[in-house]
Amino acid sequence: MKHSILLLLLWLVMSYPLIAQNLYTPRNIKAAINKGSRTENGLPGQNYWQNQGKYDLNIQLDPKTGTIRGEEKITYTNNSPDTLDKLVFNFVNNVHKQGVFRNTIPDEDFITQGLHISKLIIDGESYNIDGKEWGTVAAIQLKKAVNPNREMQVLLHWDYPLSKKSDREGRIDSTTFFVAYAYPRIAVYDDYNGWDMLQHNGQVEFYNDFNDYDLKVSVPNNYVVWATGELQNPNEVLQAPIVERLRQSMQREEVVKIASTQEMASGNVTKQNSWNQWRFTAQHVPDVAFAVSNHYEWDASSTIVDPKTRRRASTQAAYSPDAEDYPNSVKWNNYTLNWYSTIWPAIPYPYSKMTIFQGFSAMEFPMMVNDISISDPYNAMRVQNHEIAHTYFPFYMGINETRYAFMDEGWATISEYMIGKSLYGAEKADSIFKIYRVKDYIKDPSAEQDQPIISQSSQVSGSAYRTNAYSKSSLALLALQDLLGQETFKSAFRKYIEIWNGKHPTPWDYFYSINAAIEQPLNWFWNNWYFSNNYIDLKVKDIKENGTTILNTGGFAIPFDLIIHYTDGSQTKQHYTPKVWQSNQTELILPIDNSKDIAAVELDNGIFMDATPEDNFQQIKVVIAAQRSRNNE
Amino acid sequence: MHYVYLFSTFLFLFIQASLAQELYQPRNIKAAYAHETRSKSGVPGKNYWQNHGKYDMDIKVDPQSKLVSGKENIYYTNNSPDTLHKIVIRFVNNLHKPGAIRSSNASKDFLTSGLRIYQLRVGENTYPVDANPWGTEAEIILKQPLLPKSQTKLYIEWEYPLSKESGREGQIDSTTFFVAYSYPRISVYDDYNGWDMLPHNGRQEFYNDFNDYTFRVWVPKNFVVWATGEFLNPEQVLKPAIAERLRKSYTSNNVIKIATTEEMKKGQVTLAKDWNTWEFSVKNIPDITFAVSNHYQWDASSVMVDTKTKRRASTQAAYSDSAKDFEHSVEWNNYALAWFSANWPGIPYPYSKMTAVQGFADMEFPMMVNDTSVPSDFRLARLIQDHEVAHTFFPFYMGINETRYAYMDEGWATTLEYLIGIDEVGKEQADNFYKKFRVSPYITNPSSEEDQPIITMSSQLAGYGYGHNAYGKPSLAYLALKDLLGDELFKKALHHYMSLWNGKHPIPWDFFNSINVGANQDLNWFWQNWFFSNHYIDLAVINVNSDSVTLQNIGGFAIPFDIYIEYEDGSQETIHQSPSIWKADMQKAVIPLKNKKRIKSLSIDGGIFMDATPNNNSWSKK
Repeated sequence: MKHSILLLLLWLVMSYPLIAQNLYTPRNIKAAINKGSRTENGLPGQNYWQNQGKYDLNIQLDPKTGTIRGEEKITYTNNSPDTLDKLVFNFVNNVHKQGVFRNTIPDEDFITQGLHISKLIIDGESYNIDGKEWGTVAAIQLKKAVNPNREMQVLLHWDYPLSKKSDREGRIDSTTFFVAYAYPRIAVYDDYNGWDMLQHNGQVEFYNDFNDYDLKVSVPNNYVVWATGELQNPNEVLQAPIVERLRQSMQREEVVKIASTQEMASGNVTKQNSWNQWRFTAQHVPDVAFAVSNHYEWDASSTIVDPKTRRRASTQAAYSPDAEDYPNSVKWNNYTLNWYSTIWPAIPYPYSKMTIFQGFSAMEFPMMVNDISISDPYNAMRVQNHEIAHTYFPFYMGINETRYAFMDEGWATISEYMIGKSLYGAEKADSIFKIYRVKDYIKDPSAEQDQPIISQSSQVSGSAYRTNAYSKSSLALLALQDLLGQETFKSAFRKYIEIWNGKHPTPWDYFYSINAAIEQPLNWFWNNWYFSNNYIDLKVKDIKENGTTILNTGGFAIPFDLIIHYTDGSQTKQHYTPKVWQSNQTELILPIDNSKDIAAVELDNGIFMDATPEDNFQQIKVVIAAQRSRNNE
Repeated sequence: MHYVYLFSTFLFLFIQASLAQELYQPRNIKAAYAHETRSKSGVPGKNYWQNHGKYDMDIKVDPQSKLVSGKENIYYTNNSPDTLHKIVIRFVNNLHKPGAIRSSNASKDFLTSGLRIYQLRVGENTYPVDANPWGTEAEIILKQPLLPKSQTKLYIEWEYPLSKESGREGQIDSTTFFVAYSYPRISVYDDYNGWDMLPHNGRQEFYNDFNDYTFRVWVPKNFVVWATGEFLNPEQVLKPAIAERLRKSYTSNNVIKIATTEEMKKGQVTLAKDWNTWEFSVKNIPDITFAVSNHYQWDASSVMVDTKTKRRASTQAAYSDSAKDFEHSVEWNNYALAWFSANWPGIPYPYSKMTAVQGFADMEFPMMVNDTSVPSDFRLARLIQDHEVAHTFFPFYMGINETRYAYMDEGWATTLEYLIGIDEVGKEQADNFYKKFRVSPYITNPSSEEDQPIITMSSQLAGYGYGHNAYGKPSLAYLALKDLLGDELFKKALHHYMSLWNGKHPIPWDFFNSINVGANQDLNWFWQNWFFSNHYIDLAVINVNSDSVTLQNIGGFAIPFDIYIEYEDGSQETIHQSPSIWKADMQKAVIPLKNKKRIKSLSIDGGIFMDATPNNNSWSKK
């Protein structure tokens, strides 16, 4: 009696921290919860709001000078409860200017003079601003403040040069251009930080309002434009046979050659006006981008992305004729859109098209990807699949990538891995994942590598950025999948996506909506993976008759296989999910079947690569003989 | 009763267990402890090592072209147990290059073409180097690896332009230059990160080996040079009268005008050779720097910094005619050096001089500071000088890795600035300034950036995440510790740490461990609370009765505070609580009241430990 009470007390004391686990919530996030714009139940708060812009963009690209000129009308709605007395613009391409804030040293050909503004009128008031002093963020004190639930009109005229050397955007060759972040846009004003004043450093990614776009791109004849959004006027810019091929591609699974390099060169593709104006529209997307070439190959097809409504999405690719991988791009794209729409996350691809454009990057844009050509087909597929997966995160889900890159890169990285398994098998997918996503991180013992995933991406630098955004965050998701089982994991994620798509979830919204979806608080798991300095390191401590003791030196709650090798050469394998670490995250005693003589105990972490794999294996010194153990009884 | 007793025993054991919990150590730091280069007892490990350079340099400043050119011999000793296959050269002034990595936008006048290297030899091998693509650090792959416990010699010839707009260094005016970080140096190779490869971004500060320097600065006649180190040849560059004034200043408590602007302009100060070569020498120091002008006023005095040995330090100032605050610089400096030596940190100023030069930086260098003139606010001018002079102890004397652990020096400079401020202007004014500049901007900003753990590497912080983690928050932590331990024990522990680690490279864990030992108590609960948490400052009064007052620690930091009580009988009482009140329970405190009188109203006040939500810090009877 006394003993059992003691044990009960001990249990109470020991388990107290587990029961009481809360997630660290920064002051500004707490304040958002208190104000009712966010909640702790995973749903957007009853006072949730986000601002919106309607962008009417009239952009001209002069291939001779590589200059972009634009006229832009923004109707911006302040849905916040606050009066805005300033307006903040982002123009991330100012990262090309000399002397700006940046985190890597660019090539000289990357440097340009940046944005020039020739006109800025806000609500009828003219502002004498030429943008010469702007970095990637600029705040303008408004002459007339904008009240809550009011609209404002912004008119802007501007120009900027495309850099000779491109990264995420710029000149691809002398007559091919990837044009992105091409227009000054209004920064996000949100409920937890107010204006997003973070400067762009060339590495961190983006945070945008969901806007509506009417995009008009003017280019000389024989230049084709591929862009985010629906092409509104194919008949005005393309010759009739090309229009017909494009129309057909929208209805069939076979890849259609819309235009060949030869046809482009012979002037058989576009209308022969001296300038053609291509018009695209897209609603409720975070951004638009476009690409231009007079000699790229143009492939297209389409695939059913919503089996219920039979909705098809157009799949396109534009590339130079010598690219080995790109002739397969549209075919791969069909497979990928289909797979994401029906298998994982099994949410219909939310857009009407996806164009893969050959450049020098590996970068996602809504409905577009700028990918470098890669001759190894596995790697080419992997990169394309990764960028397409970004359609869901960050675009559909409105992720604040600048601060929380792990919310979308982790997703894209597991999606790339999961579709990879279906394409080329688990072994190859595992090996690719280990090489590209885990090895460099786990082999590097620097303090930088083991910062909590929750650290804001805008704060971490160097290799820590990628480790947190891609490697550790994808491992966290894969551990979660193992913990919950594939089906529960999928349905939890689908629920999270259903609730938050088109909005701006924070990490806490993510944690709480997964908690709500599976109806159990996983805070122990979130704390273990996202809020800790943990890394991956298991160790076989000892082997005794009652079991083997496993130490979790690194701390991460990972799944693993326990393999028992017997002296007769046979072995058994038992899988353990991260659940085993819920009550004690540092030490475990696992039962072993000692009915036969054990030779060794081994831990196989699979893709959860161990920092010190040498101590995951322990040979037995004194054979635990089944016979002896029975005699002892 | 019995069970309750048992339960509380368990609870106690459990709390003990969690208190005795080790502080988080990153993998590379754990490895250093395992290799015994560091030790849990806070003393340098038995295998502790650091590399060393002897720099012999000739540096020429051409006031016409604004070019700095130099030749240097570096005798570099690899004391590590590792064979070095490369040498990392650091030249932070490449920050001026147009495409450099940087943490804030730079203006056109700040940009320059950066470093050119004309010759680079290591040992007998010449390395053809094109420094054009260099950032602030560059690797030289060695043709012959440098073995453990062996030495090599580097020879470098270089040149770079002084920027028109100066930051921490550059042109101050057309004939005044603050010349710092002016020579390619060997980056630190250490026991916990290997080569320090972090690029300099203009904001973070520095991490340097302790080196020996002998250097000669070549300037045209009529230009004076102020520099780190002993001035070896005044007679060879100064007119006899000036040299004599300078010599006198070394033993004078009074401020002596070494040279006026007028004398400078009339050519009465330096010898009239086309080029004068000013020679300086200094040992065991992280860096050298110098300033040059042909029209700055030059004041000097000296002050006793070690009362035992009667050692004096020279105090000097160089400034333009219009800088009214700088006229007081030497006098303030005398006061500060004596005060820091005798009070806080209470260790004799370790160098032979301190020169304050008027520039635009508010930046410390060994034996020098480059400070903005604030002629309209003498108090602020003095405070800035005090702060920069305090840096002598941290980072220079203590060899802090500022790049990664800025809180190990900025937090102390901020604390010392505050403590000397109390002496200079009284507690109220010092408190007000500290609150306004060091605490209020932090505590009134609820952004996630502000509440990152202090232990977060400074190189992993950006925007306003950097500033308060380097200055305000760690300073509050050190002041909370002072309140916790009391002045005497705090000083004993601080001295223990400083005596063990000066001239070496302590990391945060060396600091924690050596203070634990110096204070003879396990303070890990305190380090955990202040350095390894997302805490901030926010207390709330939850309940008040005549027996006790119950407080909640919403923000989490273990702060000291006062309770002000007004009783119904009109009497008042102030009860001070040290951070120890939070040791057992960091979230809640029930403070028993001895004086069982009826309370009319009660409030709590953390003083400089400003509360994020002061509106819940008081209670009054309804």
